[in-house]
Amino acid sequence: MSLSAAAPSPFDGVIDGTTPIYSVARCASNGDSETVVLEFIADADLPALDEVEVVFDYGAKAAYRFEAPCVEESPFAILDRHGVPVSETTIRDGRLLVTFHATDLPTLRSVLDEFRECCADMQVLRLLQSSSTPEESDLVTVDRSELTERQREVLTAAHDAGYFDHPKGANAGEVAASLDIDRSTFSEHIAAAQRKLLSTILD
Amino acid sequence: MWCSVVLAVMTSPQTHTFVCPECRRSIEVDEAMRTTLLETGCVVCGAPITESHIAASPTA
Repeated sequence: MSLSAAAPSPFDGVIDGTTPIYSVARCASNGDSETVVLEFIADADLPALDEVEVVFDYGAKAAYRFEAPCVEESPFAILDRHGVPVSETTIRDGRLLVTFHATDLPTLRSVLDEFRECCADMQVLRLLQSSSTPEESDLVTVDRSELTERQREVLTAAHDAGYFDHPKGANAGEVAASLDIDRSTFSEHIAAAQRKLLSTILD
Repeated sequence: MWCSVVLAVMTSPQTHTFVCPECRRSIEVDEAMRTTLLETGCVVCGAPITESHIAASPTA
């Protein structure tokens, strides 16, 4: 989402928006609920800015930090009120680009409503919807290189032959014969492959 | 084989460009969001949307 880098952004008056800044981080000020601390990365040769200190010098880039008053209309404050963390913040060409994840459509609408009220020129650049809700997904990463080449070959042959179907398209002896290996060798490879896969998939 | 899986995941999904007939905002949306917009209307202003307001984006 793109908003003007000017008010009610906390960057108003701090940077002019022409210099790209990224990796914006933000936290509450120590013991002061009226103030927030912001940090960002930009070119190391930014002209000296009032109230902005360099907290880390990366060489060509530097991390800068400053304090700003909490403004209710700030896009960050709006997201705070919805309990939605900012995923990514950058400033390019005078525009504040904010990325966030809304967990449902009502939340998204509510956030956008408030943005629209506070920043009339707000633009929504990109909307992606997760193809399934988190409750429906239970993903695990399977590294197939855990299987030896031989185990993969045996597993593939057994699968293709219908060894895992019900009723079986082929029995162990038939698949072993197609691979020109003993039935016991086939069983060892299959058992080892299944053990590795199941230990990854099951908790 | 592992590489091809990663590459497949990295491929950008087909996107569409939605232009709201009411608030005139132009938003790039993916297939799932396109379906949602057609069902629920513009996420910004709530205006009803038809297929004619959503065009396929040219692939990069």
